[in-house]
Amino acid sequence: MPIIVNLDVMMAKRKMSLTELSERVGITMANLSILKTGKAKAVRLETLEAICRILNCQPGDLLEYVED
Amino acid sequence: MKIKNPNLVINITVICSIILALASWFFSARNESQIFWSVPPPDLSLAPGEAIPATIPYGKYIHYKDSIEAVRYLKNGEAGGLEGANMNNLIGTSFGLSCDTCDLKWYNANAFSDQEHKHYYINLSGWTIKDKESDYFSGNFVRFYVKNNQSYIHQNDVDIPVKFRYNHKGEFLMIPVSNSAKTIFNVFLTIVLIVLGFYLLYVIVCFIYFLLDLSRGLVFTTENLRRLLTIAISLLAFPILILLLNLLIKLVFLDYFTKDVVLNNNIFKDKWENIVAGILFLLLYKAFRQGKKLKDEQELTV
Repeated sequence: MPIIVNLDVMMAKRKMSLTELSERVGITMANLSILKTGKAKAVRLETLEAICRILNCQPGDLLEYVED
Repeated sequence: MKIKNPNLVINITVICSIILALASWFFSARNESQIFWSVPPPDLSLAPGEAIPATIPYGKYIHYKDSIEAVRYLKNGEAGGLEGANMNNLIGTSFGLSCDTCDLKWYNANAFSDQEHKHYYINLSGWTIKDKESDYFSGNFVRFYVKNNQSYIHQNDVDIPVKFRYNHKGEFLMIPVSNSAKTIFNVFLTIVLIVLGFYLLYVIVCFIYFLLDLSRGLVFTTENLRRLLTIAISLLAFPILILLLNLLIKLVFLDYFTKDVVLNNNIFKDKWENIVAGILFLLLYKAFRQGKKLKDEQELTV
């Protein structure tokens, strides 16, 4: 899929672990892992909003379009 | 409409399906046994050239008629029964007593002990002799008979010798074979039937597991998709397989076939049920595949 999820990059920049992020965002580790590994088919706007709020970033920092 | 107790509905469906399957098997088995010849009636055979008496009760007339028919079966080598493995509408084996000069008295005394007049056949249930009903008035219809142990096809006042025998009651061809050939063929056919039986069992188990999974709430799963596809393909492939195997049988026994031998229409008589059920299961498979796709998407939505 040409949409790359840069969640791991932002988490590294904010020095935040997956466990901490999942607790603060309020979604399960399994779902966060799906998002991080790029297996997710869709992202809810409320999930994106919560992640952006916790990581203090823009949606564009998390998602990137790359040609196949 | 909201179903209050889906598990109960599924359980009732499973029980009804099993009862229907058993009932259909029971009745089809009963019908099948009626197709073939039975033991000839009590000895009421007439002397050669003697006509049925005009003033007799109807029941006795029927007995006389059956006796004459039975003697004809004896002459044509049809007085016998199925033996060993048999596949309906396809192939099987049988035996028959063939005797030109024997009567019912002889048959009733020697039917189970006589080996001299006993012949063995491979039944080709899918093939029959062409029956031109419209030609009955012109006398142009095809007729099969046996004389001096040689079988003939009679058409247009011409007797054509043929290698096969014909069963008038079951309307199928019989290929004469030796006892050993029949035994070897029976072993082969038994193995094929056992394999087919196991496959049929597997398809039934697939259907039962599919219903059980539905009752457990496991609806759009890969297993259910595989089961539905297996059932649909099996149901649709069955009539096609019967047709192809019958054509293969013709190729194997091509030497015995004449232009008057045609595919028996009866083999397709009840196959539309398989085709309709197969199409329904295929549609169900398509719907479940779409459901599985939506479920996967929903599960991968974060």
